[in-house]
Amino acid sequence: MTFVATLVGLTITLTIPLWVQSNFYMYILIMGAFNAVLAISLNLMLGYIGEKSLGHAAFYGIGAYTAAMISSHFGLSGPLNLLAAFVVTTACAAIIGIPALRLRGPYFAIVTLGFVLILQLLVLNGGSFTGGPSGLPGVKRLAWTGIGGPYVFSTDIQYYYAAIALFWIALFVSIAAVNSKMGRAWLAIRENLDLAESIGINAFYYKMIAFLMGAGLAGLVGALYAHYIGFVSPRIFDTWTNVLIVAMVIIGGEGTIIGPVVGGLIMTALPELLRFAEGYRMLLYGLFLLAVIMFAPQGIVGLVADAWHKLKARSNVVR
Amino acid sequence: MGYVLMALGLTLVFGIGRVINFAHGELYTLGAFIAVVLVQASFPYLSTLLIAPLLAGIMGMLIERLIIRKMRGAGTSIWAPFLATLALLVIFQSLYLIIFGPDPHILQNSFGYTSIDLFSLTVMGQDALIAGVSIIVVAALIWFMHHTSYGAAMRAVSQDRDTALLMGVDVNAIYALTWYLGVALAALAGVLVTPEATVDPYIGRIVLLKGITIVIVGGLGSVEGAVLGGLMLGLIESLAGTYVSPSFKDGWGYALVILVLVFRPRGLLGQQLRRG
Repeated sequence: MTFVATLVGLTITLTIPLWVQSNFYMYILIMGAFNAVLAISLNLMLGYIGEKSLGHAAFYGIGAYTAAMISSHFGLSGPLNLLAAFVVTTACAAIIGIPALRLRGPYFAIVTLGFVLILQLLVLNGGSFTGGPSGLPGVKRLAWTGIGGPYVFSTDIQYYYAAIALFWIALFVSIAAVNSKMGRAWLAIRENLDLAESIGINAFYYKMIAFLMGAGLAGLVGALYAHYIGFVSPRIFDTWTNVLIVAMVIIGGEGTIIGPVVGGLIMTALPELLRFAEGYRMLLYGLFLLAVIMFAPQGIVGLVADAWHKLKARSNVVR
Repeated sequence: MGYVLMALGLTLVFGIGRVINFAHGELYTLGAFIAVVLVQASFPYLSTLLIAPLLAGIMGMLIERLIIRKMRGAGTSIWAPFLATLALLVIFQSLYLIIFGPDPHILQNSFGYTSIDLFSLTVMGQDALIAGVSIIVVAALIWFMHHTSYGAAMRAVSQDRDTALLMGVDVNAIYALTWYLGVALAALAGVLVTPEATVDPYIGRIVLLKGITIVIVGGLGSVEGAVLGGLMLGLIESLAGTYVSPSFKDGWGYALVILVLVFRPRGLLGQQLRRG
């Protein structure tokens, strides 16, 4: 079942550029893949550890800014940017994680939120180093200058495949992690932290790993985004980005593998689908959010799974 | 003192309802917009100080009754009320945008612009009004929480909801009352502070951030903590803004938050929350 689903998914994602020609749709698809990875990475913390991390935009932003700053200060734009984005983001996550992961519930949520706010202020006041309020324009296109190069990522299709590669990496990493001993420790921590600690699970250690994995993935998305769009601005740290990432996970279904993917795609497509409503667009968006939360508290994946089980139960009765 | 009022409603709703109300800033804005409309309809400004919070409080009760209460049952995600208030934030903000447009509105208050001499200090009328009303409201709230049966019931629900229910407290009514008070306080802050600034659909964001900062520093759910936190934030911002770096003014609040959370996660005056 999972194997077939993976094959179908791979086939669809790899052949999309063959039948989607419009640049606009390619842009939506690339952003959809980025958002899906962000949701997958946050889901580790939100869905499996069960802690409200409100600072995910921070790691996305750090990744984007690291890649952009290396590009504009050193003129580099290669694998080094991605590597640096990954390393810097993970390091920042470790620094904030050491005090923050000892806290729980609303306190953890607030510290992570505060972290984003401080970052935004630092970036706004960073002068030419960070570009200040106007951000850093002219981030170079991603390029490979090593063996067989130079190969420049310049078209949407190339970025699409880069985003899709990252998407599958993130998906497989999260599946592998969740199905390992570590994943079981995460679930134990989510269900009952005190009990988990009492049977010898080092909660801090396992939380830290989930936090670092999520941050690293988000950092990579940020770096790819910076190279794709060619521009970063402090708006990346806006509360709205945070809300959007959290909403993607919840709308799709927290604590499931496919949920964040569904949520990421829906939340990318929805604003575009609602374009017809013009001034009422955000209103409909908010109402949609509220409706999903009220009527599908387990997310859209939970809703579908419920309907599926009911259908199965009914067909069993008939037999 | 304006900061104190911004935080009071937030801390009430969290302390008793256990919901971080992310729409808090939007309800502050609601109060301000109600006042703007009333003043345009030639009500005196001082009367809006009373009318706007009373009306906005009804909105708070509706939110509790129609949305938050439905999520208190078993089987719903702990995330549900949190996300619901986020959705409300978006809904309110877009409604304001549709009704009032993106431009800032001014709330006229002729009294606010006169200066008053007070013990050799010259104070703007509006500042004096904010301080005076805040002191009265805080005193009344503390008295209410400690000397009335409703206040006692609110504190009981905050400490242990199930036991309170067993003791015959109408928990649903207390939640409704809490939301009424919390939102009315947010709206009151909006009416009081807006004459010193302007109101547009986006001001809620900064109010929410300040409110959360204060509530964390003072202790989640503590009225006294909100007062202390509000005063501290006001002092730190103006001192650091003057002597260190004006552009980083807002950052000191967050730095304070992180310090408090690392060394005293329950806040300066917060009670120890039960684990789990």
